[in-house]
Amino acid sequence: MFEEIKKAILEGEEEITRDLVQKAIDAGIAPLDLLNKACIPGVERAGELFEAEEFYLPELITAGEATRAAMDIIVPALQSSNTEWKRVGKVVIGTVEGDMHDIGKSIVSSMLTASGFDVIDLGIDVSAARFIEEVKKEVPGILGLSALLTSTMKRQQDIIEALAEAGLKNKVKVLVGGAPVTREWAESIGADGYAEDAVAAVKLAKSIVS
Amino acid sequence: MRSVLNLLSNDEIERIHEASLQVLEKTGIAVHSEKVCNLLARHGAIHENGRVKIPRKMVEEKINLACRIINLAAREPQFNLTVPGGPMPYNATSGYSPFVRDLEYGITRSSNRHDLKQFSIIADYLDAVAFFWPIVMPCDEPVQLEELSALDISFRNQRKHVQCSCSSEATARWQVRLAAILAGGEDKLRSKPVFSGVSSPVSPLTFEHNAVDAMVVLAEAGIPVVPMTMALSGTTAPATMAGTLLMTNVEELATLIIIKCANPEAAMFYASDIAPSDLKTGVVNYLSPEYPLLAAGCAQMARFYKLPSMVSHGSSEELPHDLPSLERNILKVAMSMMTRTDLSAWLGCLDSALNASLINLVMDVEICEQAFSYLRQFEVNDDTLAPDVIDAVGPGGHYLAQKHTLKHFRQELWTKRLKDTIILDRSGTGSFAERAKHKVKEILANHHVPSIEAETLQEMDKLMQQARRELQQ
Repeated sequence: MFEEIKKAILEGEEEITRDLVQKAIDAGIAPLDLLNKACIPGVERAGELFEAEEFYLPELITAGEATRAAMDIIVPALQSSNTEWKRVGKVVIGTVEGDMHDIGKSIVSSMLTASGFDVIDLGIDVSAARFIEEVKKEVPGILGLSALLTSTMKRQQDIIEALAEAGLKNKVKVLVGGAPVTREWAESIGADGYAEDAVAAVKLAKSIVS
Repeated sequence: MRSVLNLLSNDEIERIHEASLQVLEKTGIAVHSEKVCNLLARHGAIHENGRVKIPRKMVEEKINLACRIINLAAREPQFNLTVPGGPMPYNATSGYSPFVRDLEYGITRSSNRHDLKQFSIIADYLDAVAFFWPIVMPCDEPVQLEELSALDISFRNQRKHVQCSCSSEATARWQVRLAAILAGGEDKLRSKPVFSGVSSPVSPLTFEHNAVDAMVVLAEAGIPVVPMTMALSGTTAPATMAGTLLMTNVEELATLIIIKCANPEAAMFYASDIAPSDLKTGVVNYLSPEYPLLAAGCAQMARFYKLPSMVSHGSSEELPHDLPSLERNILKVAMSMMTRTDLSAWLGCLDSALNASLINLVMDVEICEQAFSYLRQFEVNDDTLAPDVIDAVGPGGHYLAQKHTLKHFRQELWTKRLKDTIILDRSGTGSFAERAKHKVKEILANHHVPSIEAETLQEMDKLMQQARRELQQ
């Protein structure tokens, strides 16, 4: 059963994964076992294959989606059985105000999910106020800010300043990214980290929460 | 859905055809062989003082006889080719260079029998070499024997179809006899032509007696003829693209007429290697942008007559030492192949076909395989058009998580990694040329080409001894 779920995750089969997990729960298999023996090994294997350049983004991301589908069933089951467990970490992520670019941020978001993070993706054109509000509400370990235009990069700085004003700057690690963003820029605006692509972003996020 | 490089509109093709009929009828061709002049005259041509004028009706009649499919047989049937064949052109080594780049010392020197043997072994090993041109001449042989010896060495040391130069009647006869031994008799050779013969007119419009007599011998024996016309814009053809294509077309049609008069069943490739001249030096300019465009025009004319086509394009002409030069060569070869000729002979060539290199042969094969990616065919159907997927994702979304993406991306998008190839392998050491050299040595040390049956070999030996005596007299 665990192997079957793992296989379905690796093949990016969202519906099959969901069905198998539901059947396992119905059959009385402990949700924590499903998590540790099927979901995590499955999604970790996908990550390894990606690192080894055998998997491509669609394969990694569909594996992540399948894992997310499994978690949608497993998490409520864990909660109702009062099992203690912990996510890798929580991330709030979005593309800054005035910027409609979705894909880069979405890849990072999917890959973080695939790596076991609890990801709250706020989408595109997200205002500073909305970021602050979500940080207060969700209390994430990491805040990810994406900007694809030189004209919207400045918003990343605005948001960091707004976080400081709200007294949240030391409570969350701010990671910035996007095509025109550089390490120098990240440092100059007081961000806690910068990654040049999605793979680097996941590594960075993992190093922050570990 | 597939890429095709076209130069001519349908109307322009018709105009070149029409003008060709006029040139053949009005200007005619020079044929320096009494025998062939008489042959053409018997079929309706007008022969006056070595000039042969061919009436429209005769041209049209012979065009109607053109062979649309040509079989190129090989020593071993698994290497037989039917042309037109697969989705990619069949590639061969380049040909008949008198010089070779020495593998060990990197110097250019006169080529010999041993060099040709080594090239044969490498060509036998490499899948991308679909048929074989004796890439270097065995210049250590007496000159009268060079082409026969080249064919003999090629037969013995590799198993693919051999396309060999043939520039005299005597050579043609010996080559046919040698091939007949391998095919199991002259009759069998007709259905199993284990070689085809390259014999060219000289632009403008001239059929020199050795070449044209050789063409006739080959045609009579059922050996496919490869005229490889070489009109050069500005020197041996008009300086215009249209004029060069017209000159080429006239020479191709004239060859077709000659071989069809010799044998109505004879087969011919619309084979050309035309290029502009560098009008500062008068030398052929293979690096010019017109070169691939002229090939595209030739390929279209060949398709118009439904004749299988051939060029000798793609040669990298240099040793690629770095990624940019390699990538430039890939694009050059891809562009040439997009002309969609059926055959091309170019692998391993250097210095405008005067020189050849084992290292380049291995590199060119790799370039060839990379260039094939530009020639792939893509389906257009409901599944690949994917309107439902586009609808499901809608504006602003992305396709990375779509099952449709998962299903198709590995076939439709280029996912081959550099490290999948041997020479480009980044984990390898040394320059590309050094890695290619290493591969050459590995093949030469480990690849064993199965031998021809002992009895056949004895007969071939005997024939070669006889030819040695008679041709040198």
